[in-house]
Amino acid sequence: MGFDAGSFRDPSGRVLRHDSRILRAVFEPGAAAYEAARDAGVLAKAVDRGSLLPADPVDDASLQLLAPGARHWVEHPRLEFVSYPYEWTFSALKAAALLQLDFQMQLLADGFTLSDATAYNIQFRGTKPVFIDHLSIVPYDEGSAWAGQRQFGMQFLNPLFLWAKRGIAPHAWFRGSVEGIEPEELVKLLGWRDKLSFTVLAHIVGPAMVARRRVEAGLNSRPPREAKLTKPRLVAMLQSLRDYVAGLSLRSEKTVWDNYADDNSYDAQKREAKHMFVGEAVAGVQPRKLFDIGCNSGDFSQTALDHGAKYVVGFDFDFGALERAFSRFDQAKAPVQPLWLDATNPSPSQGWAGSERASLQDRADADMMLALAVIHHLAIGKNVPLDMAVDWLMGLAPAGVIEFPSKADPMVQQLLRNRVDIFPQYTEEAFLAHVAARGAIVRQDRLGETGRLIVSYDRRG
Amino acid sequence: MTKHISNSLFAIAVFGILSPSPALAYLDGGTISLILQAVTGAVASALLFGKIYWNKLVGIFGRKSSAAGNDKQD
Repeated sequence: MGFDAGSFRDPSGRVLRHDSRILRAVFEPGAAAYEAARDAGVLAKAVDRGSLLPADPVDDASLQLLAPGARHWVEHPRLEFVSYPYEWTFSALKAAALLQLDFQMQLLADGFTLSDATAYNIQFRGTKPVFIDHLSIVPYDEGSAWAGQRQFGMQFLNPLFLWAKRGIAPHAWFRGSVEGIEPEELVKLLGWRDKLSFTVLAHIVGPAMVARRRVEAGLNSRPPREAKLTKPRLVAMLQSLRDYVAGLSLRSEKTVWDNYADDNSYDAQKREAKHMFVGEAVAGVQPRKLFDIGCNSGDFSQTALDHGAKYVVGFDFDFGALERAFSRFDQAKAPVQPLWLDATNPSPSQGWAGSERASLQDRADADMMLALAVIHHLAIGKNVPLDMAVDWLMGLAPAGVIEFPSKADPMVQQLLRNRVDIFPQYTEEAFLAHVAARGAIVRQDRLGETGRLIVSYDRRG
Repeated sequence: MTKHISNSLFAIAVFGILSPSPALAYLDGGTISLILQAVTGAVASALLFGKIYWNKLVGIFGRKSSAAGNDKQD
């Protein structure tokens, strides 16, 4: 039991993990707004529409011990996998931004609004974003400002702008600055052409100037002047921002693995053998949640789904491959969540007290994992000793499949082409010994007569 | 062109009179400006209004020209 480490900034309430339940306590500062939204039916309406995570009221006096003073309790369904904006694909961040704006406009139509605009209030079920914070929904006060403008800029607009207009994926910056990219930093990268855009002027340059003036004025800042933001103008501002975000797209760039599925050394027969091996292994485990490390465009995530996996989180380093995976599973409405991962530097535990945002390791609760054509990138491409690479991969899930391309493999040859072979320990025998030392080898096979070694393991004893 | 003029007016209107304003709820209201938002809202309203009428205009001429195209085919 305990408060969720990422839920503390708004005194309206807090999320608790109690046994396997996800509970939200509503405290006095948030009680009136929550009751108003609940009684007006806006919560139920948003849940029905699919934009808001469901929440069932809980009437259990014993819960008061967990959070004394709570006025209401609600219980949320457990999300399959909590992810953060610095792990999302471009399409995912854009879909989340559009949900944030659409949801706010829908609420305004019913006399409510959102008290913030943080991307951490949005999670994904497969490729579909969902708003999770019921206590951000507050009654709209006529004439009031959009409180979340700066947050929306830092966590949605600015990263999307950087990605779409400069071709720079924002992950390193966003991960280092968990509250997002400040407009006063981004504005330094803008040219005069960028500033011809109304949206850039209003939502990047303007907020940057507000922040700068605030610092300059210090304690001498004068009281705010009178201004009026009518509801139709607030809606127009949100709508024009929505139109801008909807129009953002990635420049098409050729990525490392663009033609991997077509060009790699596998012929159709070997690929078929791999699909069969993976399918049978997944069917044997029947995982509720499966991690596909190095998922590429999701071929084997699909095979896993076809053989009984209920939910797949696909990780890859390549944004182009992830975009294709996102588009594919979005169209199929399949429960696959493609996320960005640098396996040699996975998301750390960070934020307030080093625990506000959980590390990948802390969230790694999959029942099974696939690591197909991955281990040579770690062991040879990144100099990770083979035993450490096996250890990390097998640590992600109690059962799984690992493919091992030997040094004779053309893909490994390519990695070794411009360097001295300092990897005498990179052998099939050593690999099998490392796997066997950490779990049972359920099955091992070769993909074609001279093809790659593939093993399935189970370390559940 | 219209957009550039509206951008210039917007810039003059906003950057002359920036000041923080109170905001709802738990976020620091000093990080946003109600005046900036009021001007943004006004310009956005005008642009959206213009866009709607522009689309209507294009729609009318679009229909006419497509009707003309159909006549030719007939």
